[in-house]
Amino acid sequence: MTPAGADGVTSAGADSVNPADRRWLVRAGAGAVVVAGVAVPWLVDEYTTSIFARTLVLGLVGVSVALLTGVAGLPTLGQTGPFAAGAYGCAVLGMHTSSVGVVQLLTGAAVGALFAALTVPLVVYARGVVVLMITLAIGELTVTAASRWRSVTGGSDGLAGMPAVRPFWGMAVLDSDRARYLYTLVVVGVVVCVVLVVLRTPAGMLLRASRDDEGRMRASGHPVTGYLAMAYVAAGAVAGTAGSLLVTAQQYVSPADFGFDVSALLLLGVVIGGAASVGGAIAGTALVVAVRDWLSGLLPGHAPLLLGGLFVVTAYLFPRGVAGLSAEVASLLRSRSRSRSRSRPGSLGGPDVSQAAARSEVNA
Amino acid sequence: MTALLVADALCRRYGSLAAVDRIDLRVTDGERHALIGPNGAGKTTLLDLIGGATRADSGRIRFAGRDITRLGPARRARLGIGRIHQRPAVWSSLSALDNVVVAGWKQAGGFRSAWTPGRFRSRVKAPGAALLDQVGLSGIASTAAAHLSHGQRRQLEIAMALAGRPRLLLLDEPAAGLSSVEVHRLAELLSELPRTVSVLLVEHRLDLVYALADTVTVLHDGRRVATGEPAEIRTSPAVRQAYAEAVR
Repeated sequence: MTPAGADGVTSAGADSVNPADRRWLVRAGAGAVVVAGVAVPWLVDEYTTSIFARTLVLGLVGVSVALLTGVAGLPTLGQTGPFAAGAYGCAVLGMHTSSVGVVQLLTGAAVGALFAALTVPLVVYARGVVVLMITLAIGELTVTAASRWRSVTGGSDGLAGMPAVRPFWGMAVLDSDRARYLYTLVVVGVVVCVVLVVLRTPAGMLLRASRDDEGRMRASGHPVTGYLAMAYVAAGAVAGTAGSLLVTAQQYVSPADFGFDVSALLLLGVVIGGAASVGGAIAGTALVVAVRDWLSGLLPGHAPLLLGGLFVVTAYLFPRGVAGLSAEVASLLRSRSRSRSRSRPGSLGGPDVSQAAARSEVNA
Repeated sequence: MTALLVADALCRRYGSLAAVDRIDLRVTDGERHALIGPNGAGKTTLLDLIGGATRADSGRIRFAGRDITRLGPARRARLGIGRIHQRPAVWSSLSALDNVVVAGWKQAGGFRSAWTPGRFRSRVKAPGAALLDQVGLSGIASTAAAHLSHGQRRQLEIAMALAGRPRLLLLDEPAAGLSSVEVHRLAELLSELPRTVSVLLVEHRLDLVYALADTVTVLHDGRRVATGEPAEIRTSPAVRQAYAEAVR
């Protein structure tokens, strides 16, 4: 996604074989993505630009899902909760108090984190499928609350008519889809960089270790539940930031933006993206949204069928998700160039090792 | 010698089975104490009770003069109880060195020692690398733990347990699944441990037990049959009766 992302990805996998080709591939890919991302509003029409902006926002929620599902090992269907909380918090603030983007983003993050802090005891003591069920309930209850609490959320009619956002005091307001898209792109880029940097610190290592073997963590004196709680609140802040961006990007918010279909789509996108990869989460979410919104135009009314097909195809072809792609391409190049394609398991360059590369890479 | 660990009448039941049935145990400072007994005697359960992975149904545990009966495993680990599992438990997506770093994280000062890269290297990474060297794994420090052999994982988990600077090390069948060369290296490693570390060892290989242990406790069906020096245990008729096939 970003140069920093590329760095994080490669150096984490650097302990395995030939980091050089992969670094080159990932850097080139990330560079191309950034250039394409900036060029988008000049290449497509206004309407498509606004869809791209919304896709980016969902990608950021996808990052928070990946943080919990892949890195911390808490599979979640409930990140629409802090996402919605951040969006409504920001919308109310935007209508009554401040139209400054930074203030709105920080409010969104704070409300999202607060939402997560309130629900954290429900989540961090459970594991696996139970977490999935609990977070599903949290997401659904949030949507119900959003459609019932008319005085604040406008019920199922939603909230509209927020004044246009100015990113910073004294800056011009964002009055075009292009401006709103670029604003979204910059904010998503910054948040993703922050997430990647944090994951590269020992904090990321502690989370991955907690996911790998919790009992061993406790036997080494680590308060695992506390770590998971912090990760959950941080993921809530990321989703809340995305909520704030959603309000800016589509200038409208309603409970339909946070339904179960959105949660399911996000989890699907993150799994397709490679579960623990931040870049993969955005790519996977974008892919899923694209299939639902564009490809389904070819087969009207069959979007779920296409999504199901997409999932089956990725599960077969790229068991490690989109994020595993660079490792797979690199190993393909390697086996071609060395003409030793029938490598033995465990030997250098064998499937075993490239799997290790992918596994450590997805943790970036 | 003062008692480091005192367990009083520990009980743990699984349904109608008393896995650990009123067991008393004393481990003194610097002692090498071995637990032996046939399969199902309650050895691993007893280690779990002491390490905190399982809570006792009744009984008390004191460690270094402090009642730890109600403390969780993480608190006990921070007080100085290190653990090695029967199936080596390592963090498979982390490199060998990072495994030791994370295992010694709390004792190295946690995030306070990681604010700057220099501090992190000197206070956290360097001691970790030294431990890897001590167990003979310095050559594979950057290999992901998922790709280590069983024997290497065992060595790694020993380095991880030592990184926690334990006063008491709980070893659950450290020789299981190791080749004879690896067992030899393990015995060397354990005999080189400083006497500031006490060891409670569960092991089926009696040659290892008799070579290392100062005291041997024999368990059978969740009960303590005998405690004594290796020489006494070897010849005790009561032990032979309870544990006939294992004592040679």
